Amino acid sequence: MADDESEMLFDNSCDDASDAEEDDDDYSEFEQPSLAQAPRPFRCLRPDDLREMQAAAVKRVAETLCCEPSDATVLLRSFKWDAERVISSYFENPEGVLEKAGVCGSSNRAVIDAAAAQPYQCPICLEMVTAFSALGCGHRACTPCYSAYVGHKIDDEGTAAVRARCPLVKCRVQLTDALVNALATDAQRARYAVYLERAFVDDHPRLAWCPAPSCTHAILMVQPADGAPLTGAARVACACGEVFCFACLRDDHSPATCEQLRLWLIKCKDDSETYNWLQANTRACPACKTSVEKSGGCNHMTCRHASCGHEWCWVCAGPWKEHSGNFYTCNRFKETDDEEVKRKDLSKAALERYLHYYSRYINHHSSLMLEEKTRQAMEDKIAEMQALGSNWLDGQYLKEATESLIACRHALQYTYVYAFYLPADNHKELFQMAQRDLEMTTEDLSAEIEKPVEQIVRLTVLHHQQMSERRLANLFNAVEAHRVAEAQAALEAAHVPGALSRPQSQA
Amino acid sequence: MSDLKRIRKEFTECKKDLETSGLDVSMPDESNLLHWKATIKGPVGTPYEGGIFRIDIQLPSDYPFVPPKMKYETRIWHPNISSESGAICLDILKNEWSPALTIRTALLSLQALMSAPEPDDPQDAVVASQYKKNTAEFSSTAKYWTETYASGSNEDDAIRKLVEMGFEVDVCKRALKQFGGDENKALDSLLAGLA
Repeated sequence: MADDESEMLFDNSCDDASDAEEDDDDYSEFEQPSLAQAPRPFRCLRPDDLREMQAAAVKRVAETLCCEPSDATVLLRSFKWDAERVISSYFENPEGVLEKAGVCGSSNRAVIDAAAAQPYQCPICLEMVTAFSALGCGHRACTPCYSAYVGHKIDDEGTAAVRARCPLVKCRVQLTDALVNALATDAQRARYAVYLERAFVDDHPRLAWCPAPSCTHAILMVQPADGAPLTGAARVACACGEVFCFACLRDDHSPATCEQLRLWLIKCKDDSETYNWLQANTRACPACKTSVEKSGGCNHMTCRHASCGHEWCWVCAGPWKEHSGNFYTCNRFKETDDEEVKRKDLSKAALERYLHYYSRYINHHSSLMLEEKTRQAMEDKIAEMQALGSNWLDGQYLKEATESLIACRHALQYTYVYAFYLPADNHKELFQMAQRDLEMTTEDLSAEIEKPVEQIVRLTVLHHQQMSERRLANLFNAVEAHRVAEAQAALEAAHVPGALSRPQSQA
Repeated sequence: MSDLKRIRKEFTECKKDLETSGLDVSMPDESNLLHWKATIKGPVGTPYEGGIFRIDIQLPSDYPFVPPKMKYETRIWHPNISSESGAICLDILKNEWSPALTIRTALLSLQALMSAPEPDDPQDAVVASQYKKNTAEFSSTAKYWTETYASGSNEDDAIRKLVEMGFEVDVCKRALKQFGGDENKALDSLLAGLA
């Protein structure tokens, strides 16, 4: 492929093709990664931008390695679209890279619908034929069979068609888009183009589709200057208005981490603690089915639920009437032992803890659900103000205040997820103080803008809004500072023993 | 739409080298080219030697672009074949299938699999662990299964069926021999004998 390799010799010998996959980055990885995490820069790409980006990478590789664009595409796919890594790996070990990616060198070109000099048996239809198509590997099949094979891959195997191989047994050469496009029908070609684009975004570590329904945009994270790998949550906003976390594609959940959110959602879904506790501690009143907790005393239960008043035995759930006078003869009676009491206390405490965080989380969450309504209400208020004589521009501060309010509520709901998973320590104390402050001003702001139009005082609104924004920033700063400190501590713990054995390769 | 022409061709090819390959194929229903039955001789020098193993083959409608569905009908003690259902764990019958493979090559691969099991990719965990830990015990079990289930082709099967209907073993054998192994005719004669 390359005409002159000596020109392109690289003096670092970091990875050969076989371990290229693990070794994702250059040596900067061994330096202290920068820990301060400014919001990471990202760009929103439209389908056209994606095509352009893909074409640029293909062009770069094809020109540097002097290969066909379709081979460059296959190479890039096997290197997660890192053009520089394709190029450097290729010059270190050309055969290895080509073989691993399933590409034939430029001396072996694909042949599309040619005629063979001698008739041969097509391996697919088993007929003697002369017409054939083949990839660079030279494995021939008659063109109708080859087309049927390609068509089958596109029609029946979905995105996997992008990684389809030569139809011959155990041949690892990848179908190239040039061959596919030559042999597929128009409809299949269009589908294949969609699959290629999907695979591009899915394979590229710094690209993710916007999760909003029917949005065709993708988000590109800008490569950190130090080459550090992308880890952890990152808030991104698509041009369509969807705001989400780049790492887990769920709603933006800062300050909670992706993992915390995942655990939390599972927890909320199965609501297991409520269930556990109800199981352990309550019984349904045999008459009205209300859950009854036994808070002490004897086993003679009298249901307090509204009009029920049913009297029953805690032990056997039978009507108390049958027990009167001979209570101790209830044959299923059993004294609760200490272990069971302890278990009940524990599950009750865990539930109460969970409910504490959950109720606050869900409270902000449901306020947010009314987001659109709130926005509409503000529009109405601004209109009302105009009617009262102020101009439209004057009313706009209300809109801004509403957006601030929504942002605060959004963050507040996830602060409870974050706090739920925090160990009880100094940081938690500090965090909860910041949380409380934010919550207070958020409620103040909310109360102020919900007042009737004539009672709203602009200065008060602005004051609350600024306070809220500042406190939101404070809270995020506290979380970030803590994260940095923890990462630093972990890094020191991990690095000190290993520092000597690590190659200090700043060539 | 499956390639019926190729399927017919494959069938004739398979019939050509019965002697050398130890394979035989048939179509139980001549009008349905997509349902085959095959037999494989147990490879020499393995616990399966002397056995004849029946395989059921269903060709999917988009054959040969999709692999054929094969399973053992004869019970077999083998790490890559379920001792319960006869399901086969073999890469070329799944993701490594290629339209350039044929029923014949797939059956030959099965034969090769019987010679060289791959216990690290097991279908039957019990058999696989026995194969790895106690080869002698594995061999004797596999041999016993071969003798019990795979010896003497269809004849034993027919005898067993007739015996299950309540006829004496010797009588059944005689009747089958008389009608060249035709189970139905033998049964008719046996029933006629009763009356």
